[in-house]
Amino acid sequence: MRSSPAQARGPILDVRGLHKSYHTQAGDTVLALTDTSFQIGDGEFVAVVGPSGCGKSTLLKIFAGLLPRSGGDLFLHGEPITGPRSDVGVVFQDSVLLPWLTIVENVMLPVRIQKLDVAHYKERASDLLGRISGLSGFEERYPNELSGGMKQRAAICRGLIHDPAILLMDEPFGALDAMTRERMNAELQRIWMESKKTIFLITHSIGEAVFLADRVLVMSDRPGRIVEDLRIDLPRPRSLDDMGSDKFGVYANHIRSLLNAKGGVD
Amino acid sequence: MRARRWSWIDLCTPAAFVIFVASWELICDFWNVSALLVPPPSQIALALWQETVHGALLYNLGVTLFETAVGFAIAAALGIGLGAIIAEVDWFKRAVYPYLIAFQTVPKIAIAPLLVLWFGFGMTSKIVIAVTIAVFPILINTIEGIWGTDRDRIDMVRAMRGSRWQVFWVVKFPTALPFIFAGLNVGIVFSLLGAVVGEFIGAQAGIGNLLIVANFRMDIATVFAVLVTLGVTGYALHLLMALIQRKVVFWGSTARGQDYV
Repeated sequence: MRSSPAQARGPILDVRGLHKSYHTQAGDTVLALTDTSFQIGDGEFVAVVGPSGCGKSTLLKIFAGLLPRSGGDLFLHGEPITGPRSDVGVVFQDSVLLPWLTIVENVMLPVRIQKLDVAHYKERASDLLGRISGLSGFEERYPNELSGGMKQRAAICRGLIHDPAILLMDEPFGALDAMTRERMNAELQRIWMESKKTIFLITHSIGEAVFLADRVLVMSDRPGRIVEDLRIDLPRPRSLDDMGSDKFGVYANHIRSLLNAKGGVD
Repeated sequence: MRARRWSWIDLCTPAAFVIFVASWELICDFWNVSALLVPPPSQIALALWQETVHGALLYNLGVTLFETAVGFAIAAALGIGLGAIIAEVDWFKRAVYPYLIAFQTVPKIAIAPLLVLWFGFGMTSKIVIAVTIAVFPILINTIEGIWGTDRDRIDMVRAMRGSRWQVFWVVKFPTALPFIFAGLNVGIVFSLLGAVVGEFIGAQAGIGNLLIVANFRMDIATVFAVLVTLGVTGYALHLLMALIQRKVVFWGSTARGQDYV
């Protein structure tokens, strides 16, 4: 159904030889990301796994236009990324909902910031909140009244409201408990299948990556670079029970061995 | 739903008041303490009544409250405005902030006589003193509040292509509001303090003036009556600010601000 549309329509995101270095306060130069190249096709779900501090979040921040790159090329829809763009949606680890705004006001924030047509997107907001994330009835509530999982679903709606070409997710479920996290994984798969969005997900959960992604990019420890681009050939929709299947285990073990070989030592 | 049931714990505050006032009265009576030094509560209450009904307590209180309010309003505008600019504009911060911190360590009470000399015996000098004292807690808390904004919140709005202006108004300023209110809470009481200190030094009216005059006349009961008025007024102003804060910062998270006398 969703078999590699990347070749058909050209990549949404095209990363070529990207690298990023920081200058520390001591005056040293630290290489955070080196020689990173990959492509993401339209509608693809790509996950990145790697040890903490391997530059995954740096990668996402560069895509979001929040950090400048030190070298290499980066194209979204064939245009170079030079700063934050209106066709990108971002979901952070903490939901980052503003406590003084209601849920629907939080979801509408990108519309307000980009001065888009409020009436049109208001309808889309209630559609996203209701049909996609099961939050209807909570539109006028404040974030403090919602559970962690509900907040994160609202944050996903906020990331999708302006219909971005790609949704970037930085460990979106890292702060949730294991049970909620599994449920959110299933929800995210459904949201992705319904919204037909391209998703770039950063996680340090191997299970989450294999369960959700079409492709898993495995990153090495600092300086971060992609050591394998693994296609996950499991039928959709995947159920949480599939996580116990042999094929799932083979993928997960393969990724784990890569991480242990490249990033576990040192 | 019914309110919480009464319990003995609710009686502690009024009971403490009654016991305190009663013991004071009894001690004055028992040891024959001179009313010239410490008048008993009954005399203070009488003086309070006399000054309110026949005297000029209310007029003087009105003058002081006016000075306090104007001083506070100016201090709030100045503190929040200047604080926001210092927090946001780096060159301005470098030019102004170190000197403000240095000036802040000067006890403002010490320059009050100078301010009266410059601005006269009328209300202007009291307002200036009130502003000088009240502006610092508001200013410092505004700066701290804005600087304390979570990086993720800023990144979130930036990622939506929010301008610097939008980042400030959508995220930073609301985030700073609990801190700003902590500053305003201290500021309004400091403003009253500043006005009264100004009136001590030289004034034609105001509650501080009334206090000094009563002190010269050795009318100690009136001195205490004025002190009671002052205490109640300060507390009422504080409660008023707390009420406004609860309405404005309805999402809670009361920040513990800094005083900077």
